[in-house]
Amino acid sequence: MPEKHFYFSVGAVVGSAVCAVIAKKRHKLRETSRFFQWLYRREPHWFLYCPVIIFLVGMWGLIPDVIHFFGWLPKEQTRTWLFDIFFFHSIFEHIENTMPAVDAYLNFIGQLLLAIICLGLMLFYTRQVKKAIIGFNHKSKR
Amino acid sequence: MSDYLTGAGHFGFGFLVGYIISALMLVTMKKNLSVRLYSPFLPFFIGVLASLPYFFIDRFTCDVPSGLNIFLFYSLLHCQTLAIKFLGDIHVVVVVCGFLYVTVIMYYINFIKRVRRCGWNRYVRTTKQSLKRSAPRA
Repeated sequence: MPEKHFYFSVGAVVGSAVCAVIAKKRHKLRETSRFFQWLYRREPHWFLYCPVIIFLVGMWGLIPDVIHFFGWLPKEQTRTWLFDIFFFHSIFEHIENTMPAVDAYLNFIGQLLLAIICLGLMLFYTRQVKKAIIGFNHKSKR
Repeated sequence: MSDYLTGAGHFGFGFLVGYIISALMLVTMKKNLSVRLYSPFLPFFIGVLASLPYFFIDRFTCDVPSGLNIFLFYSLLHCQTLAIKFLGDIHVVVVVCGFLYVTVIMYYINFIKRVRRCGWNRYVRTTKQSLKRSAPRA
């Protein structure tokens, strides 16, 4: 099957997209949404913890494998159409059976996506540090 | 488990070594902003360097040229039983590297919070002050 990291990486890409949308709209949402107002009051640095979403959405793709691991359902059932909600699990399983070459490519793409997301996240944090330094220098000059 | 160390195992070993170097750099060179910003990238680069030959040479043999030891002891580790025992299982590598990655992210989050509150070299200054305070009086 496409390895577990492939499903996780697909989820991580979706999670990153969600984070990007939140990043763009968070200032608007602060004015309109009570939840975001509460969040800012509770933890002003909440956005730094936002990448947890990437992990959680990534784990969504691993649910069929977890079900397998604990033996709650047999493989035949986790390959039914219903399990496509976990990032097209049964479609990718079908690809594995019929096109092994594509399967190898998918695994490679999964590794690449994970590496890009991991390093991209760290670059995001370094950018935040630089912004914070500039912001602090402005604040201390005033 | 296979008879040789897989690419993930080599990467895991490199990641561990890089993490230790990065942690040492953060402790010894904390006045240097570049070190504090970019040294957490080191585990990735060393990890990739350690697993690089895996993609280009025959991975199923233990007869690896000794010149490849420049890639973080690649030929030494490739069929080393102890290394295979600890890093041969990909799940162990994923858990270890994942845990270390989370600590790197937590380091960044705490660093950003501190910089927003009191500037990036505040920690260094406080350490000096506290050292002065704790120094024995003549």
